[in-house]
Order: sequence, then C-alpha cells, then structure tokens
Amino acid sequence: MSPETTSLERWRRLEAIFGEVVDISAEERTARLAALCAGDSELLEEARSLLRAADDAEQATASFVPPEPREAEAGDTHIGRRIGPYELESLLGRGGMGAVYLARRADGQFDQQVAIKLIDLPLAGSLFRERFRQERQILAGLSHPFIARLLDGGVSEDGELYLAMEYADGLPIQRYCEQHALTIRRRIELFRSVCAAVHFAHQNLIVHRDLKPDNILVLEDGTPKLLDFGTAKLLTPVEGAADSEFTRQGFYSYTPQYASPEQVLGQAISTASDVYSLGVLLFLLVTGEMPYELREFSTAEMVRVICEQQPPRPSEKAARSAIDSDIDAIVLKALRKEPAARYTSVDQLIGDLEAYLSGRPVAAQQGSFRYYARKFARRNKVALAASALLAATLLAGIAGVLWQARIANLERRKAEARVDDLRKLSNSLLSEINGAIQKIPGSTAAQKLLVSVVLDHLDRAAQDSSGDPQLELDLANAYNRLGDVQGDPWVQNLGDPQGALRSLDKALAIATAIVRKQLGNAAAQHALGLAEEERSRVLFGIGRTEEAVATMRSATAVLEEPASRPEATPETMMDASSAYASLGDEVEHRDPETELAAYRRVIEIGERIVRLDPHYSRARRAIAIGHMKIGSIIAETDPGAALPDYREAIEGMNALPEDTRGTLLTQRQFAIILRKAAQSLMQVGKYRESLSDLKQAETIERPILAADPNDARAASDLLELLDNEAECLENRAEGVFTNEPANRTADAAGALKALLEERSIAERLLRIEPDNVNWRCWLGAILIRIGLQQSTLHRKEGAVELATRGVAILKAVGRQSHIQVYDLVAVAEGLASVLPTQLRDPRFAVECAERAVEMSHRREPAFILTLAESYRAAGRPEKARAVAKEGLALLPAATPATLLSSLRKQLQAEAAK
Amino acid sequence: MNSSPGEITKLLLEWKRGEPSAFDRLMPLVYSRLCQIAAAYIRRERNAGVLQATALVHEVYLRLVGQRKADLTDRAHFYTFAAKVMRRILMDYARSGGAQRRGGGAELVPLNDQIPWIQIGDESMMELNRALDELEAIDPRKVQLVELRFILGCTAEETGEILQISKATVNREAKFVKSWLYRRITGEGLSHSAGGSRRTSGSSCGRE
Repeated sequence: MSPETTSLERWRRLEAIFGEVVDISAEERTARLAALCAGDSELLEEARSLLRAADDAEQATASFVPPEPREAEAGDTHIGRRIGPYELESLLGRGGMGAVYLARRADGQFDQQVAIKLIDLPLAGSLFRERFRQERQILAGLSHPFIARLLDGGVSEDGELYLAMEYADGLPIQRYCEQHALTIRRRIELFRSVCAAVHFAHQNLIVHRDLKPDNILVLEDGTPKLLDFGTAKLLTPVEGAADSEFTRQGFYSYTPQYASPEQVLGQAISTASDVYSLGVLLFLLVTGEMPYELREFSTAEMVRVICEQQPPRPSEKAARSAIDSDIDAIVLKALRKEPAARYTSVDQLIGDLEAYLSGRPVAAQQGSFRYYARKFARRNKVALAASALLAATLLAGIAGVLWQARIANLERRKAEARVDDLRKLSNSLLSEINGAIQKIPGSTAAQKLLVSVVLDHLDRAAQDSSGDPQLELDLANAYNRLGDVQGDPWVQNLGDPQGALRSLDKALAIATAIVRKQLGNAAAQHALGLAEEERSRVLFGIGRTEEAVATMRSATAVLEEPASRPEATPETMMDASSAYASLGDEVEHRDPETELAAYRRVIEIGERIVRLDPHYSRARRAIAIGHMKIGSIIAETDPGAALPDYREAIEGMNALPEDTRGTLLTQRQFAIILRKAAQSLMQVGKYRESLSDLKQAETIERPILAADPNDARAASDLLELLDNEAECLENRAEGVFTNEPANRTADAAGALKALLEERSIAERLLRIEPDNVNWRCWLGAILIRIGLQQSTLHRKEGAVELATRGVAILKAVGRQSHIQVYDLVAVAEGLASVLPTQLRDPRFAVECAERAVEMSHRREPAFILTLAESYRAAGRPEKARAVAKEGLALLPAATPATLLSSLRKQLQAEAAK
Repeated sequence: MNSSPGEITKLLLEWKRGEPSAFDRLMPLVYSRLCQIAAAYIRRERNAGVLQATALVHEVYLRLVGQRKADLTDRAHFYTFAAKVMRRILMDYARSGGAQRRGGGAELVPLNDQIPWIQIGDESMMELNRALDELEAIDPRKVQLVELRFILGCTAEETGEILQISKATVNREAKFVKSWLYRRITGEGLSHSAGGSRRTSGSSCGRE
C-alpha cells in the first residue's frame, strides 16, 4: 500500500494497528490482528506485510557492520598517480578538505618540486568549479617572497580539483623558534616578516582567514613562507545564487584556536580577522602557550571562550623569560574582541612592532605618564627632525605644568583650587599647547602624554563635581576636546576612536544633564552640540556612517538654535556652520539633496557672520568651500551650470587675508577648487579659461612638491594638473567642440611639454611604488599620447618606440584581475587611439571598456563613450552607435547650459557616425 | 541577498507557514555549510568522531542568527529546514551519478546506521526520495521525522524536541515508517501489497 492509494484514515488505522502488535509475541499477534482488522482482509494483509518488513528491517539493521572510517584506510593509493603535469611522490599531510602531497613535474619541462593539494569535495558543482578557476587566477597573481606561490590548479583526469603550490621545505614557525632557540627579539623580528607578507596580501584584497603555525613555515635560512593564502575562501563550496555576501563571509573551515570572535559567530570577516589570528600567533611565539584553552570543540564552548573570555597578558603566561609590557599591549590590542578595536591594519601592527624593536613608544599602550617618561629616558634623545626645538620647548612647558599638577595633588588642595587646575589643564594644555603640537609631525607621543594626564584629572574631577554647573560645563568641554585629540578622523589624532567615543559620551551625559536642569543654558546647549558633532565625526571615521549622519543632524539642530539668537557671537554661528559642513561631507556622493541643503546653510550662516565681522576669515573660507561643494554636485550632471558657484569659490579664496591663505590646508583647498573649475570649463569647451585656472593651481602645487620631492600626494596632485592641461591643449589642437581659435602647432607643443613632465613624474612615482598599477597605467597612457602629439608635430623620431612601449604597458595592465575602473578606461582609450594604427588593439580595447562599463553598472556616460569609441575603432559602427545612444539616455534632460557639455556632444557624434 | 538575523527568523516563519519562496531564499544561506557536512557523510568522516551533524547544524544556526541563545521554536524550524536542504543535497548527489562518479572502488556508505539498506548516492536514495514525496501528501510529519532522524542524523531525543513529541513517540513512529520504507525500497513483501501499484505510481512522481 502506498499512501497515495489510500486515505489518511486508513493510513492512520494501519499505523495504530502496527503500533499495537509490533512488540507482542507472534502467537498473540495473529489473534490481536484479526480482532483489530475486524474482517477487513485488505487491511489485515497490509498490516501483515508491514510487520514482516519490520522484522526483516530489524534483522538487516542488526547484522549491519559499520564500515571502518576512511582515515584508517591502509596505504595511499594516490602515491605515484599523475595529476595534471605532476606526479605524486609522498603524503605531506591531511586537512579538512583533502590531502597534501609532495609532487614533481612529470612532463620533463622543469625539475620542480611542488606541493599538491587534492581536494575531496564530492558535491562540488559546476558553478563552484568555475569560481574555483577564477579565484585561483587571482591567487596566482599574489607574488611575495614570503608567500608560497600558487602555481597551478585545475581538475584531474578523475575529476578531482587540485592546487599546485610552491613547496616550502621548512618547519612550522613555532617549532622553528623552539628548535633554533630564538630570543624574544628574534621571534618578534621573524613575526614582523610574517606580518609584512600578510599586509601585502591585504593590499591585494586577499584575506588569509586561517593563519596558524601549520600555515607558516620557516625555511632553514630563516625565510618565512605563508601557505594557503585565500584557499579557505577558494574552497568554500557555493552554488550560484548562494554566492551572497552572507554565505561568502559566513562559513569557512578554520582552526578554532586561532579563530576570531567574528569567525566563530559567522559575522563579516575582514583583514581584522587576520590581525586577530596574528595576535594569537604572537602570543604563542613569545610565551610558548596559547592564550585560551579550548576544552572541547563545541560551539557553546567556542563562543564562551573566544567571544567572552578576556585573554591573559602574555607576561602572565610566559614561563621562561620576562615579557615587556609593550608586548603585552601589542598582543592584547590585536586580540580585542571587537574588530574595530584591534589594529585597523597589519601595517599598524608592524608599526608597533618596529616601535618596540627600536625602543619607541608603541601605539597600543594607552599610556601613563610613567610609561612615556620611561620611554623618553630610555631613548635618551628625542629624535624630532625639523621642529625639534619647538617640540622640546613645548614638552618642557607641559612637564612644568604637570609638575605643578603633581605637587598640587600631593598637597591635596581644596576643590576650588582643583577647578582652577582643571581649567588650566583643559583649556590651556589641550587647546593651545596641543593645537601647536598637532602641527608638528611625529608629535603623537606628546599628545598621548597630554591625553592620559588630562583624562586622569577629568575623571577624578568628575567624581568630585557635585552639581556646580560651571564646573560641570568645563568638564563637558574638556571631555569634548579630549575626544577630538583621541579620535577625530579629520585631524592628526591618536587613533583611539573607542577612547574618543567614551570621552564624548561622558561629555554628552554631562551636557544633557545641565540642559535638562536649566533650559535655555546656551553654553550647555553649545557643549552638547559640539559633543554630538565630535561623536559623529568619530563614528564616521570608523565606518558607522548611518549613526554618524543621524548624530550630525541632531548636532546641527542643537547648534543652530543658539546661533540664530540675536545675541549670537560669530563663534557660536561658526560652530553651527561647521556642523552643517560636516553633515554635507558625511553624505557626500550618497545623498546630494541633503548635501546641497547643508552647504547652502553653511553659506547663509557664513554670510551672516561676515556681515557682523568682515575679517572673520574662517567664515570666508567656509563660504568659498560651500560654493565649491555645491559646484561639484551640480557639475556631476551639468558642468556648465556649476561654473557660477566655482567662480564664487575662487573669488572667495582670493579675497582671504594673506595669513589665512598661506596655510598648507587652505592652499591645497584652493588648488582643488581651481582644478574642479578648470575641469568643468574644459567640459564646456572653454579651454582658455580652463588653462588659466590650471596655471594658477600649478603655482600652488609646485612649491609644495619642491618642499618635499618624495611627497607622493603632492606629486600625484601635480600629475593630475598637468594631465588636465595636456587634455585641454590636445582638445583645442584637435578643435574638439569649441569655437576658440587654435594654434594647432603651439597647442600640440604645449600638450607635449606637459606630457613629458607627466612622464617624468609618473616614472618617479613608480620608482617609489613599483607595484602601483595606477601609476603604471598612467605612464602607459602618457607614452601613447606623447607619440600622438609627436606625430601631430611631425617629429616622428622615437614616436613609434614610445607608443609601442605604452601599448605593452597598457596591455599588461588590462590583463590584471584587480584593476580600478578608471585604469581600465585608460587602457581602452589608449589601445583604441594609438598611432600608428597598426599598434591598435581595438578588440582588447572593447573588452576592457566593456569591463569598465559593467563595473560601473552601465551608469557612467563617460565610460560608455569610451566603449562606443572602442567599438568604432574595432570596425563595429552599429554597436558604437547603439552604445552611444545608451550613454545619451543617461544624461539629464538637456538645458541650454548642458547642451554645451562636450561629453554630450561626443556621445551625439558617436551616435550619428 | 542581504540577510540579517531577524530576516532569517522571519523567512523561517514564512517557510513554516507554507510560503514556498521562503525556502528558495533561505537555502543559499545554509547550502554551502550543509554541503560540507554532506561531503563528510559521503567521505564517511562522520565516524572519525570530529563533530556530529546536529552539532554542526546548530553551529550554522547560531552563526546565522548571531545569537548566543536562540529561541527554541525558531531553532526547531531551522532544523526541519536544514534537514530538508540536506535531503535535497544528497538527492542531487545521487542523481548526478553519485557513488559511481567516485570510482568503482568506492564502497557504498549507508545513509544512517539505523537504515543501512539505504545508501548514499545510489538508487535506494532516489527511491527514498520518491517515497517521501508521496508520503508528504498524506503524513508530512513522518517525512520530517525521517528527514531529521535519518537524513540529518538527529537522535531520538533531538527529533522529539524539534517536532515537540515524546522520545517514545519518535521511536514508535520511526519503527512504523522504517518498515514501510524497507518494504518499499527492498521490494520485500510486495506481492502481498493490497494496492500493488507501487511501481507504476512510484515512477510517475518523485521528480523535482
């Protein structure tokens, strides 16, 4: 009887009868069955048949002998097998996903020993295999002396997946350290090399996810080799739609002892997870013990220990040797439960290791006065380069005040006196002296010293302050400034956002309490607004964007109220204006409407301030920047319409008094405004004005670069300026959408001059950063454009060689798997336009342009234009026209101003060709 | 798909209420992990004493909902769901040629020691699937019981807790459905079958 051939009722009866008789003896059964079935012969037969089956099933189960587990398999049938071009020689080890063999190339091509990982994933579907292939290519590009290279990989004749890796004949790092009896210092140096390799991989967007001694071998000569980079991710079987962010980040095989809390909880895995595993490793290397003991591998135990238990200090666990408290601090910072509280990058961890090795203060130390004093004394000299004298003077000043404070404490002065102390410390130390120190490069240690001392004082004063609103207000403001120093991402800070949030929360709590008690207390409201603003900036800096924006909105409302009172001072208004500017920055690129509204407020409030005090230069600068920001938003869709705002911004900057205009920050901002204006002018074919703005920006950027020729940011700023200049001249020489008179030869010569200087800057940048794809791509594109201008000028000599070199560089760049969209566009443009025409590779240009267009979700008209041009170069005019129409459809409805945009014109031209 | 813990609980509830699209949206979240568990079954690593499948599923669940202490009802929903996904994975494996593909030398592995006559990756597994499809129409709880107890490998206690029935009831019902499956899969006792239409009805259904 099959259930579908019977009714539910019959099935239930059968089940009931079965249940009643199945456990009684055979003799009793017959009678019971007959009684229960009550003459229903069909039912009776059915029940009997089922009871027979029950007995048989029972027997079959009882006589079943469970097969031996696979691990006990005698011998290994894989030895001697051929996998791809390799022959397996011996078993190196077994892991969760399969076994690793030592193998040798068997095709006689090279005599090379490799490690082959044979992956036993019987359920791997075709989509998984495809992803395996793609990821493998990415990993194969990871080339670093301390990382075992992935050489090859694929599917064996028998359908197994395999990975061939560089074979590292070494010992796991921990055993190596033991066997060579390395000192703590040598261990830390070795560990630093491991960190360097991990950092390199992180820069290539690859996270290891399973760092542990077994994956870090050290060769006899002391070279570390990291194994299995990215394979944990590679080996996650995921099918099609299953490839969601969630699953991708959720599950990998990992080793519980080295797993971070977020790995155990299945939350997002990031580079911070590797930082954590490195922390466990460092703990092991310096103490010989693990930070935690996992008694069992149950989830509950893992969650309890890894996510909740605080790790001990390495110095408590170390059996052999004394561990410095710096190492304690470094390990514990890497082992923090919350990813954001760890080192934000391996680079920072390396920085602290190096600081420790050279006796400098480490960032992980929250820092006490004694700690810094000891460090200073130990180092003997404070190595502050250019500003040593100023710094020394300031430090002497601080030491003096601190000394007084200490005496004050010793004498246990009364509360009134402490209020005075507090004011002195918070107002004088934090604002004036810290303000001065902040400008000195390398002065973070001094700032930390300040912060820790001030925090001590504040916390003690907060305990004593019982209800005196003035004292409490001072406290709130002091906590505010402290938060600023600890973690404001916009200024040089101490990199302690969590500490900053704690300080700001204290400020908020105090200010809120006063505002509640005394409605209309403008000073308290002001303090409240500032604390919220600061809190928002810190949140924004650590990526908690939504919270940051909400907090900033609240700050603008709180600060706006006292600023709109008739008695409001310029300072009060300026604080409101700043909050609006911060709000605009926080929503930049994501919410243009809010951004526009915020900057309009900045300008309105700024203009009110200037009416009160025409010499208030911060307000003037805020107005100028407000216009620039508004211009940028408008220029996104309509470069012509952005020009009036840009013009206002430039005039505002020009009208600033000399002392404000002279600062580095203002100078850079001015250069940015000029370049933005120039780009919009170029878009609408006003090349002469564009060039004049660019020239003015150049007069700002050149001295900055001259002051420090190794300043990569200054170099790339100048590079971009020159590039805009060259483009302007190239366009005018070609007569692209302009009625400006062109002197073709002069413009081409000007463009050539700019390009040649670009070339030397790009080459210098590449010498500093040889692996930077962006600079490489830039150089390739420049070489091609130099060739183009040379042929315009009939200077054929060397032109073909340059162009050939440029093409080779661009092709290599275009084949990279990790590449930025702008670089792809540059590759496509270069390959579609290079002269002589036989150097062109329009098919590859189309491929790159397609990739760029897809990467930008087909929403960037400028990229689509490049794609159209590539299609035309490839001799596919109908495709070019179709794509150009697609690009045109993305542009906003034409207004008289936008009609002038050269992007629109170029797309229209492509659509009509 | 971006799923928060709350979203998962919601989807589980929708699925439980019979919303078919919820299953498809949930499946990607557990598929890869369950595949690994299933692969361990197939490789017979289960006996290596590393981890029990149920413990692994529990772990998957904790990770998905991101809570230390999960709601009992939600957890039960998740187990029944995971068992269904596991059934589908093992079925796909059997259908794609399963054991044969792994080379003739490979021994067949029983799905569960309680029912050694059903083996992973061969025809008996396909037959099990067809039988359960038919049973679904008339007694869905038995299907859940088979999926939990025999496919996911829960103990009788665990199965009882999830289905909210006593351990004794689990054992009694398991015995009944096991006998029915044995007769169906081995063909024993067929000649006595009242309906006698198993082959014809069976071949027309059970395909997803």
